[in-house]
Amino acid sequence: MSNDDEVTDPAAVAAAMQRIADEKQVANELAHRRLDAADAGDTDTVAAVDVEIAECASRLAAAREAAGVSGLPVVGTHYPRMNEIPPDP
Amino acid sequence: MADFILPGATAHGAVLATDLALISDNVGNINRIPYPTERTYHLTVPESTKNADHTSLGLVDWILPKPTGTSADYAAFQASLNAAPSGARYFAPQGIYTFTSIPGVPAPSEVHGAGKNPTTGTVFRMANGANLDAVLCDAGWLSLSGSPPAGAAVNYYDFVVDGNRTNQTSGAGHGLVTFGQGATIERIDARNTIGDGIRPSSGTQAGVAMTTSCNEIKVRWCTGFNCGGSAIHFAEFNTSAKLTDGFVNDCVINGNSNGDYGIRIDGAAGHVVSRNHVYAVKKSSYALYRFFGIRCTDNYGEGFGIHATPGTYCCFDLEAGGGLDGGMATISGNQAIGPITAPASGTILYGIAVQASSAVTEASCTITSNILRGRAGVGALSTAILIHNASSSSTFNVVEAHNVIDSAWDVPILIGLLTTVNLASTFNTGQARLVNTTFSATPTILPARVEAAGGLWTMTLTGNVTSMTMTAGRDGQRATFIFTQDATGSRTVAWPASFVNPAAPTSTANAVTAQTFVYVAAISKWVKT
Repeated sequence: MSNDDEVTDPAAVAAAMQRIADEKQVANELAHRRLDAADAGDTDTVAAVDVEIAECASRLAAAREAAGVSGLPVVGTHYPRMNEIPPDP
Repeated sequence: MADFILPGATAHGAVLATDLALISDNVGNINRIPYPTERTYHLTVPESTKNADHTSLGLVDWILPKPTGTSADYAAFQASLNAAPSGARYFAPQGIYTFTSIPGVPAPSEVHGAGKNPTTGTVFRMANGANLDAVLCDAGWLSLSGSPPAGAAVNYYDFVVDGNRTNQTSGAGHGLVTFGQGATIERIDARNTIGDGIRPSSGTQAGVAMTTSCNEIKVRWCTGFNCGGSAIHFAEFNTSAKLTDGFVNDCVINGNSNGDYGIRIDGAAGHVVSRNHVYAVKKSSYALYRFFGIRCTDNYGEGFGIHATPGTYCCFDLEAGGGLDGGMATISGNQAIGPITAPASGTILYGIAVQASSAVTEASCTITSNILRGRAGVGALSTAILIHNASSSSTFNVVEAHNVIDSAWDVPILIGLLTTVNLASTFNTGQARLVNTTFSATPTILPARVEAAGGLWTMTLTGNVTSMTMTAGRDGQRATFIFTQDATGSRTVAWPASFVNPAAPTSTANAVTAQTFVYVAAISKWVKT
């Protein structure tokens, strides 16, 4: 099976999209927990949550790749021209 | 396009021979100077009448020595600056000046170049190995002991400051440093600096804080490229904020993945930051600290948060505090796009972060009509909007509405509140904001977080909720509670006493029960609708 076949498999895509949604809920709660712990000065909890956040981010990235929605948006292709600023009109 | 200066009007409106004489050379030719790539008007005179005094036009023109590109440039340039009468309007001809020391421009005055094109304009460049703190500055920055004279601004127009960073090993390495109250900085290109590109500063070279205001500085139509600190940095040295009420408009910045910040304002009290573009910075695109009356509107940021050291980085980072009580921020019409390349592991990203970060009794802001586009799969936790009250004694009033948040952000809206955030949040789109709260037998519910979740609060009941706590909401705030029974069913909920007429969740296994309440401040109750 080719990569194209994988990302166009409706069932696989649907499953991956559901994993993305689930992981976003996890990320949401982790982000709130981290913020609350930081406000409370609880550095141990912040450190522990950071580990969970890294794991969650990794799972999200994997789910996005499986769903075919990962990767860099087509942006930033024009700004290197800044090094050759054209004359003012 | 050639510039052509018409004579001043006489009392009776006629043009007299004496008027023409004021702007002509000694053989009767009208003075004009061609600037094929610039639109700026310059009143200049030929070399033969160099340093002519046109005081009857309210102007004193002073042509600076032509650049040689050698170590002789500094001494000749500084000597000519010092030789001009007060109030000079200097003109620096086209070419590359190579400075081995920092020229200080006397105030009040203006410095004009032949354009900000690095190849065809006027370029002030730090000499190889000069290791200076700046390329060019107000003379007072080098010598003042803390109090700039009133009305002593230097205005700068139409040139390039090049920090030549690859050939320096030390020094602060800023580009243009200025501090004059009301100064205008227009059409300057700052590039290749170790430090900041354009740096209005309320501190001297030695770091002594100014004791009088140097506010109302205008930075317009400037460009920044490859500046290591910030392309534009209003550097505040005085704890009571002397560098306020400035303008940064219509500037284009490319950090080239080397710059920490695009536009940074340390004391953003009364500033207007609008219609700018910032690309490819390592930390934050727009950093507006100690905001008091900031207007951050219609800006664009693309690519941020790629510093090798993991940290918290933002496209738009605004913080109230620093003793500026009653801070206000209008954050509207901006567009943000996430990192261009993958950030360091452990990095936390925010599209827009608005925080009350130190003791402010009350701060207020609007976050409206922004478009936030994330980047999926970067391996860092990304949140589109953070609203955070980190002060133990503050009230933070926020309207967050009509923003578009795309699906690439991990978390759409994050509300942090050590004490109070009064939030009205409506009509956002682009990503669901339902908060699915992990089961707790004793949940504490924060109204602002419910508001940020579209007015929804959900929980799957895997046990009985024995007590709930929910603090006072915004008057008229609506909150819908959705309980879902697990496969066992028959879980119960003990509603808070402040809830009027709540119903028990349907007991059937997997049943879903939704109830909506509205907060009525007059009776301090959440009333079922």
